[in-house]
Amino acid sequence: MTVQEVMDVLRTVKDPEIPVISITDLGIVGDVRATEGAVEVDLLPTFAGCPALGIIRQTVERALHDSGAESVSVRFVNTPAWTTDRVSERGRDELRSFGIAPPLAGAVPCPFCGSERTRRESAFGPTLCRSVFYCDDCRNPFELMKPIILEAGDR
Amino acid sequence: MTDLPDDILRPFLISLADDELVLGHRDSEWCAFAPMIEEDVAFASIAQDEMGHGRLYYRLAHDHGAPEPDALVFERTADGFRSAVLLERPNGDWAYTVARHLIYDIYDDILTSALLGSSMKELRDIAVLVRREERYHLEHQSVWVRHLAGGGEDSRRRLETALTRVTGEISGLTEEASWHAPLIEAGVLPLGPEEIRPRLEGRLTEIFAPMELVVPGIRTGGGLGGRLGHHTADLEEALRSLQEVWQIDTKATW
Repeated sequence: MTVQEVMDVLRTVKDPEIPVISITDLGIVGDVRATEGAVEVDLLPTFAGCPALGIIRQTVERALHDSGAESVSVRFVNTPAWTTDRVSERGRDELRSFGIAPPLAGAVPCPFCGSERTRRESAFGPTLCRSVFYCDDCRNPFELMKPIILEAGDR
Repeated sequence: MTDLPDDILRPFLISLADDELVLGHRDSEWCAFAPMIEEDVAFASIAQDEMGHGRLYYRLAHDHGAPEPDALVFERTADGFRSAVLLERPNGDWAYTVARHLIYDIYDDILTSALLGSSMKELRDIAVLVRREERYHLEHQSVWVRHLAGGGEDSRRRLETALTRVTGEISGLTEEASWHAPLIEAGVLPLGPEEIRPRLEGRLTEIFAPMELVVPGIRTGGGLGGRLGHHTADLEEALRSLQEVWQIDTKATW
């Protein structure tokens, strides 16, 4: 397989917790190395404690085997650090369509009605990567993909 | 890379991981019992985060010759743990939970901030990952402490009692062990326990003084022994619960 072919396969693998977004649009695919029959994929963990990481690894391995790769090695690496800046524009649209506001610091527009009269109810939500918000206009609760950034001193 | 022998690195990395695991386990015990549903959810998330950080350090320890992370978590007895005694204490009331967590998060902030400058690249990388997530914990516990301090007479009294209990055992976090001197010498640990202690005291005063809360002086000599494997019955009780399912069938695959 070529690297391009591997990337095409990875684009079909969805995040198990937010099944509208692919792992490429989520930005967790790091280095990809491909030769004749052997493929190596580096993945960047979103949150260190994310319970979906094992499932994502298995899904990637299966998808690549099914596409003809003979030997597949998928590993999680600690660098570069994943941040929500790595989520693509298409990924942001997909999050919105799922009812999750894409990661944003500052005012968060409601993914249902677009209003900016929203407030954070809790930084912590149903998964590690989501915060809970409430829209004061359409009165819907919604979630925000929790912004993960590197502070200036932490890079 | 570092030239330090693995048998000096290992207990240090395991002590970092054990702190995260043991506190993460206590956090998880609030799930379904917290004062409000948002806190059930928050503490479940915080527990997962802390255990995730523990796993990063356990994996690095494994790279340096320690058993697999699962074996370290599920197959050790209490005397193999290098965590601070403070963190194994039962959650107690909400004020104790919040006060202990905030103080641990501040300690963790000082420590990981220093690790960003470690001579060991793998530790620098882990510090970056941990710090991305920890700012949410710090913010969360700081808000709660302000609520408790500014709430009614009962909540304020409980917070004061909690601060006295926590500061009584806080020195267990910065307890000296044999690995510290060579790690500091090699630049792996840029900030030793001696230097962390006054910074921690300074940060606590900074946070609590505006609430007109006097932080009882950090009692040196309180809550010691954890770094050397000396624990209380509280850790044994925590491990019975944490390891219970694994111990039913240690050969099961997941």
